[in-house]
Amino acid sequence: MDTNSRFWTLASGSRLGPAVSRLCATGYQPLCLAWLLLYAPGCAPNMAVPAADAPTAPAGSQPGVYDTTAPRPIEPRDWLERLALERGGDLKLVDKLMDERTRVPEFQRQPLPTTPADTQIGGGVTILSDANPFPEWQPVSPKEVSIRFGLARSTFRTRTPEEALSAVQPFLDIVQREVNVRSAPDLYERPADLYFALSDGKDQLGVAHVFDYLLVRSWLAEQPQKAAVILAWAQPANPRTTDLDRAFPGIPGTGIELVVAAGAPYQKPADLKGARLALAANYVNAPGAFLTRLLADLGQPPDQPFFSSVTLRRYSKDCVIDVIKGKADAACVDQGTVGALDRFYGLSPHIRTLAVSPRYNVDVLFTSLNNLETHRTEIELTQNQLTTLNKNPEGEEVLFFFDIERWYNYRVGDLEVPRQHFDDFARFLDQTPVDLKPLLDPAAPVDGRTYDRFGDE
Amino acid sequence: MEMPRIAGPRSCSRRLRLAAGLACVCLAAGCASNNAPLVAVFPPPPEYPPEHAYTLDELTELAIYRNASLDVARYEAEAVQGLVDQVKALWLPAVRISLAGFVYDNNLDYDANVFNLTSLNIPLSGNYNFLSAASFVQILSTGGKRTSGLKQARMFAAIKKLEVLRLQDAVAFDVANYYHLVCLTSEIDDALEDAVRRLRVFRQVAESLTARGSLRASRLDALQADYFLSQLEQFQLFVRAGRHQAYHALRHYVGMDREQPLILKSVELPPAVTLDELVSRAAQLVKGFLARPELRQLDLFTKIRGEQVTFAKAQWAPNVVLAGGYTDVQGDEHSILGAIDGLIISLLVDIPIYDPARRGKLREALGLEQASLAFQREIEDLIALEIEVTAVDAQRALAAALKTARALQTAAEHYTATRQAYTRELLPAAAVVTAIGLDLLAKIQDAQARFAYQNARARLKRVTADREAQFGY
Repeated sequence: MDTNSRFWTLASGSRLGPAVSRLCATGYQPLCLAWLLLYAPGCAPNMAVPAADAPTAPAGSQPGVYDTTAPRPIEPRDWLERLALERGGDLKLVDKLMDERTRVPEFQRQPLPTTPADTQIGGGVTILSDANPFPEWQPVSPKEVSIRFGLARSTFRTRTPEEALSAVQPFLDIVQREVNVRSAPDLYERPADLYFALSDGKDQLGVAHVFDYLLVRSWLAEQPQKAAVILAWAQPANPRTTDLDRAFPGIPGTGIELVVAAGAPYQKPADLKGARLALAANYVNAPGAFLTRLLADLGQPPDQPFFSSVTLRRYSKDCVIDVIKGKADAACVDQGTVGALDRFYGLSPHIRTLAVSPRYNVDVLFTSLNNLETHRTEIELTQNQLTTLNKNPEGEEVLFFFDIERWYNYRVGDLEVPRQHFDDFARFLDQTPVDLKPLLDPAAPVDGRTYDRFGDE
Repeated sequence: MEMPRIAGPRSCSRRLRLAAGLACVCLAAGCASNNAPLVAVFPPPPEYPPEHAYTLDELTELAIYRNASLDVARYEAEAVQGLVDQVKALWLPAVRISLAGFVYDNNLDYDANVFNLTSLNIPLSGNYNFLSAASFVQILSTGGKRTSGLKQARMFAAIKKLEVLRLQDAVAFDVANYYHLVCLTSEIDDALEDAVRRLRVFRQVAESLTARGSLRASRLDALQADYFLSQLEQFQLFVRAGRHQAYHALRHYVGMDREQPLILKSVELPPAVTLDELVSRAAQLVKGFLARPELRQLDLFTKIRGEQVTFAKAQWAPNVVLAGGYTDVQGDEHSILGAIDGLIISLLVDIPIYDPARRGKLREALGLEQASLAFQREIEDLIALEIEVTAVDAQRALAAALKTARALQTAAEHYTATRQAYTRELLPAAAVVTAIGLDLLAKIQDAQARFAYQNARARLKRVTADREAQFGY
């Protein structure tokens, strides 16, 4: 065996060795040597920089870099397959010469620009925020109270204090969220308490029936620099107008009705002498003023009863249903209650209105000069929120709880009717007819039974 | 008389020098440098004992090793490397050897009488001859066609390699999807089983109360419970069959052999948690754009089209080929045959002068190049759209999962309160059935929301080609 053959045998150890040896022996040594060098595998191990298009390893080669895109090694089944898989020095020579010149280009594309955050979809609708597209609803954070307002019993009427305080909470949150003013409510059973709160600066705002306001106003007027300032008034929900009050001046739906059953023999208020009257407990000012005036017009002495009985019911609607069910002969309730019952039950064919009060059943928002000096900004911001409550869902729900359609900023002349009939209210307070005394008596018995939605007690 | 040789045979020492020179070139090329790229090696697969309970992350990793479709893509990419080698071979010479042996029993010598003056015996062949010939062809220049072809072949190889990554992302998503489906169906099955067992008790008590004449429950309550129960049992059949199907699909995508056990570590969907990848859609867009293999494939495809323009232009350039041949005749030393021994070297220069088809070819390449650029813009925009909608879906799924978790708690409290209210004679019996239904509905909605969330995460991983982040369960 000559040198070339031995070298081949040592180098490759493959089955091709003998064949090459024979070629060498027959005078083809140059070709054998060239072949050997071109295809001889296993030049110095290449463990340098990995490349993106790194060649894959043939079976049995040394380990390189792990790559899950590389195929599993293919085991050659004969020398030809080994030859193909190991590539040989000739192709590696071309690798050296050409790989750099024909390198696969890098990915140099730039990401597409993102849509600007303020992109409008249309109609004021914007695209979702990039980082916080679905923000959780956040309750308002605790904040120190900067303004207080008093709620008079004349404005929350048949509701319990717990109901009134609960219903007003969303309003406080709206004000804080919108104008960053935290307010707090105080409930007052008597107008005098509200007067002292405003006068002393304990409360900066008051919400009360217009007659309470006029009363407080008269008291504040006696103090220098503490005059009452009216800010807004409320339109009751379910406004109703009858033939009797269609031409009345003032705000529609703010009257008090005296109703009887449709088939009852009563044709005018005077016919009700000796009848059974149902009144809502804690619904005092407007019915009191109206009935006082009515009894006075009938010539009824205040100290003698006109009705055979006066029952205080838990809710206004119970008074009306009592009339329909024959448990009472007449009921004196606000037009909003009659309107709501008519919408819910379609009751209007079953009742008849004998008389309607002037349009003075209005609630108002007011303050005093001393509070305007100290809290003007907070008062104006709160007033603004109150008069725009109906413009958002939370505000509408708050108004719904208080049976109010919406609040309006006060303009001169808006409350002329209540001013004209304030004397009736004053008479009701000063010369209360004996029939109406239970209205002003906190200890008067109240029939707390109420009708369910099927009309059952 | 022995005829003189026109060209004598090459000595052995010349042959050896030639071979040595060639060998030196090869050594210099193949062995001298150590800057060659690392060889890519398929990593060894992870080993697990037969009773091992797998997490999703482990299954995803295992699928990369075991999924057969990935092997198909890997071997196809390897096959394209063979194509690259074929193109590279254009830089190398083609060498062939031909061997022939001739034996004649006829005297083919030509006897001539020249001008009738003298007789010549011209030998045409010996009695036997061995003809051996070697030839080689080396392309010296193609005016850029070879280089352009190699560039295209290498880019095509890179595209096929990226195809493995693309499939890898798809398989990882499939594994996650079926894993989550197994978990979802298991959770719904648990919730149904719980409700069914409660309803059976309720129905039994309601029937018993009615049979014994109690007014606390009526036949209506028992019928209502029975009907509801029947509905739930049907739903349970559907869910259990779905779990079976999803489990086997999971095994397939992981690449588990049919006889191998595949036990999941947990069959419950983890709760939704806010993760960094859900914070910004814009960040996901950038990440996905830079990582998606499809976009890289598309870019290379566009560059191949551009390279084809170069290739078409190279048709105007000449081709230069060096060809050589060596012939050796062994035999009875015939003088004429011996005279054709030796080396023949040819240099061929092929200059195309007029070939109108080249213009058409270039025009075609230009059109296709522009088409590929437009195609690239379209696909880039589509992939950006895919990332955007997937990211916002993941954000939505997270928000929804948090809300259903709250609803789940509320429904559970409602059910407890209803049970207490019925016990204290505050609610009719029918309210308990309704409460069980609400509780079940909340459980199913919660499981669905967590499924949607975890699946949205998996989809987001796929569309952003995120192979690093783990599910963590």
